Amino acid sequence: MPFLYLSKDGLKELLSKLYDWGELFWVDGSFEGKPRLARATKEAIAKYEVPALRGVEPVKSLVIPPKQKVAEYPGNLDKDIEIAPKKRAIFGIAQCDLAGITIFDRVFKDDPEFVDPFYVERRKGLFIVTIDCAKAYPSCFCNLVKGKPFCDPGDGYDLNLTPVEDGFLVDVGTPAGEELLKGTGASQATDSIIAGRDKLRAKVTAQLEKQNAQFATEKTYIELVSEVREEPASYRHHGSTCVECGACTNVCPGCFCFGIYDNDAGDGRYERLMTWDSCQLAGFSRMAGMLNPRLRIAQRFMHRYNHKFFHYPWRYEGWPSCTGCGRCVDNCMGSIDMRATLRDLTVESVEDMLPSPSPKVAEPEAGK
Amino acid sequence: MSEKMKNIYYPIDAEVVDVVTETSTIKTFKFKLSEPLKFRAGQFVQLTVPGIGEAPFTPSSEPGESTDLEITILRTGRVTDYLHDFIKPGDPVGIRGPFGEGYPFDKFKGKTVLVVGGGVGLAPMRAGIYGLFQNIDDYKRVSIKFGARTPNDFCFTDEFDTWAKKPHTDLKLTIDRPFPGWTGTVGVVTVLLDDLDVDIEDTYVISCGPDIMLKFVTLKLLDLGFDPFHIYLSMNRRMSCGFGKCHRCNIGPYYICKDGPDMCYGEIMNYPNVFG
Repeated sequence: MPFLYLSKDGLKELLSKLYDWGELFWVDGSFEGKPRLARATKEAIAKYEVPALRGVEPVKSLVIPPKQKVAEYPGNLDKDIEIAPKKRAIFGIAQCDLAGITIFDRVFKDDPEFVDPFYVERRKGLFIVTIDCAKAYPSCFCNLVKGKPFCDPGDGYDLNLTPVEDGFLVDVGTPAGEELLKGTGASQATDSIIAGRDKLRAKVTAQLEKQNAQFATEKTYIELVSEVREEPASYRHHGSTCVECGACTNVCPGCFCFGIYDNDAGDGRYERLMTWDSCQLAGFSRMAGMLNPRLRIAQRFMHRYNHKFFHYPWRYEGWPSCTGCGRCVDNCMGSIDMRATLRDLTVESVEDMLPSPSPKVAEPEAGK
Repeated sequence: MSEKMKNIYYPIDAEVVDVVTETSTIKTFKFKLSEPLKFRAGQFVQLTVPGIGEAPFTPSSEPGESTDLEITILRTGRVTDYLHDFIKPGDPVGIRGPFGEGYPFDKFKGKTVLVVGGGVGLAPMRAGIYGLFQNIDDYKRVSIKFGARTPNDFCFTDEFDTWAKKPHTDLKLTIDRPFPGWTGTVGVVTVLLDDLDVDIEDTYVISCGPDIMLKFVTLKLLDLGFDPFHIYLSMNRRMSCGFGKCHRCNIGPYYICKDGPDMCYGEIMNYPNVFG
């Protein structure tokens, strides 16, 4: 598939087509400095601005809602359920969010034995348009966790856009993407436009490498975390400012741990709810009789890192369940920086570690 | 475009047909399921108490395929308190499962199997013992060691004689502290391992009980020279989904719900907090 060039007017056309095609969500860059996830409206298409970096919110709520009903009983009614995928599009997500969806896919969709029908229903009808990052937040660290500020063919998008001079370079990922591009005036891209894309990608990658140089380790984070058995001092040092709010897991595009609760729905019916849960809360692993194998904060703190960089890659071909989006760093009330925690894993003395709490990361500059 | 898919969160209907009081804190609930459930020894199910919630239990009835299911339950938390206090014959419940791998009986063929249980740990052990009895000639010997706090805390006492009479099977009991009228061994269950008369190289152990018991049984066995890979422990963790997705029951990278709940000690021994 050749690369295509799409003008700014062509983009409005594409958005209109997507809006008519199904339910459209987008990451809107017109908020000051910080792109936000929102539901698209017809009127807003004219003033929509593509985001220069990832949105503030992860897009996971579109595939795993914070709370959803998964069964109603008794009566054996919901044992086999009809799934009818709804047409939904998300426009303008960054690679870190697409990688998050891939993390969920392995668990909920591609499991050979237990497939989550509710996830499959949402995922099947999902049309994904990704956008290369033109900038990076100071908290972004995708380059340290097998990520990158752009998408490559095979990553799973339907369309990928790269902002280039006066328009976009489009890579088509699926036949559905090709279909939607028809009538938008997309034309074959020239070599100079493709060169422009490569230049942008190199620029953002270089910026990420520069800002994360102080956190880089000789071994990969996965190797480091997987080799640790006893609780390292780093988890106690950096975890000491944790206030157990659960923000890090809620904003994480790769966190999927959930809880199952039953409610009385009245009239002798009961409903089963699946909700987001957080491993940072004490009740997460508490058993009957108040036994809790992860009673201390440091144990739960270590558990989160272990899940992301040891348990998940151990089970799923070496992929971490962290995408390096940096949202946990931005949103931590205790100013805990994941990169600092991981960098200090093999550091024995607290004096040699990075400070805790971590220095507040700078706000991104205003503008697009 | 629509298709039918199995709902992995749905409990199938079941009805309580009988409740048997085993001890002051343990009851056996007998259920009639609306469709047959097939489980292997060691596998567990999620029992739904309508409106209260789910809790994981290993059935105490004979493994196989049946619409009858028994679960022996200690009163210890929200769901189990409700079961003990309010559930009576005729009440509806739900069952989801079975989950987990169960015991690797194939590995035990031709070997001695040492069964060590404590307290309500006898409940899942009963399914294991029934499972062993189904092909008793496959094993060299089955040696059962049970411990409880007092003689009144043993469940299934009326079956002990039948078990001890099975071919190449022996059963030994102990209680934690002296008790009027008790003439048998006194001490925690590890005392029954003191004078073990089995070929240690050729023996597999399955064990179930509270964390503290599992810990000391394991230490004792290792002390005696057992291979950690010959020890299968029925681990205690909070299990919610049952199929390795909600990630609360892990020990190291293993999910107790999916890869257990009877974990090979050799596989988990290097991870933190194995015994809580």
